[in-house]
Amino acid sequence: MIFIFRMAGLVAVFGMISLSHSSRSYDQPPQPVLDLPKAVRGESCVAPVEEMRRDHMDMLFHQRDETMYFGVRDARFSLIGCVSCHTQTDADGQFIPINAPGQFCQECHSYTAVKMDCFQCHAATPGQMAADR
Amino acid sequence: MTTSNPATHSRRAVLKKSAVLLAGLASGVKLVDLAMAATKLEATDQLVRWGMLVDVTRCADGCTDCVDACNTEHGLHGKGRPLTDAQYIRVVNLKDKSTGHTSSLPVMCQHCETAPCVDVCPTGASFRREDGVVLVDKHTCIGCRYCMLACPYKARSFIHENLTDQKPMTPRGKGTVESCNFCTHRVDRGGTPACVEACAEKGHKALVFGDLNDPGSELYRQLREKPSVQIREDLNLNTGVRYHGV
Repeated sequence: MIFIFRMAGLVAVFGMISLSHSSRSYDQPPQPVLDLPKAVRGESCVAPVEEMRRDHMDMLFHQRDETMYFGVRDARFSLIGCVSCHTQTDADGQFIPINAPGQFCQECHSYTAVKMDCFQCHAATPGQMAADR
Repeated sequence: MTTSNPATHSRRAVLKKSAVLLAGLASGVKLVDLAMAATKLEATDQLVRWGMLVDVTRCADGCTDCVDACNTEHGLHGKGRPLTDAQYIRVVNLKDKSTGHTSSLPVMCQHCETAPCVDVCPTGASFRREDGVVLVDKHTCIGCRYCMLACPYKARSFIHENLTDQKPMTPRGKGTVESCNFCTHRVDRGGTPACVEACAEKGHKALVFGDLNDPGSELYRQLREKPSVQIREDLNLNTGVRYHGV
């Protein structure tokens, strides 16, 4: 009797898995539903959106070592570059930190549940030196 | 470190040839990439060694212009706790007990050639750039503070508390060690450190910054003309910061 119940349970579980498989299409990867603030400065991003979404962490990781060890400044990729284009201003014209809830970096990172440590140390607003980065 | 790296030069030559070859063929993006590659190779030249001369005879007692400029540049806000507040430059007052003569001098990271902080760092976070600037890679620093113990100049500070409002060019965070970085963000673009600029602007001209290896530099000329010393010269660290009139 117990055996029959177990079998029935297994069948139910497999049924649910196959149902969930059939209900999802794998032709298109799932698209995040995000309300990302538009960049307010700069004409275009340093790379296409798809590339940025996939590789921005590697670009930043690579560039940070180039800058720190070899003194390469004003390169194509930089965290200061991200911050200077993508920070928004509030009604008083003050910069909103880019890692604040709903802001450019944080919105995506909340969606993907990836903790972002950059702004524990790095400035989250352009600051006074953004102009001559 | 005084000899140029043949590999670097051959890479540079290859890049230049590639640039010529590709000029007629490649798209603009390719050329931009090549130009950036060339920038990287020349960014920190091995022949450069940044250094500083402090003319203590021009340092007035109680003057803190360099310290103030440094604090502003790097966003160092003291919390009224002199023992633990971050300091990149420390003013040291000396008194000759036999004569009563006093002098006051700024002491910062001396950017040693054989830096004890680099030697003792267990993670490789303390490192010396090819142009002689000693830095902390804060991504790798675990905050053990061995370097602070090893440094004979008390040049390094530890960040004990969470910080906000850091300067874009000076990332600083709790649990890491930091010290004078010779304002690399300025120097990499051909500028001078904030302290040197402030000292000159106020008319003291006690600080001279430049390339220790460049015979044409003002620093080189002054070091040639004036007698100068390294602090704790007995340790044979070959410091990048020299003092005149101590």
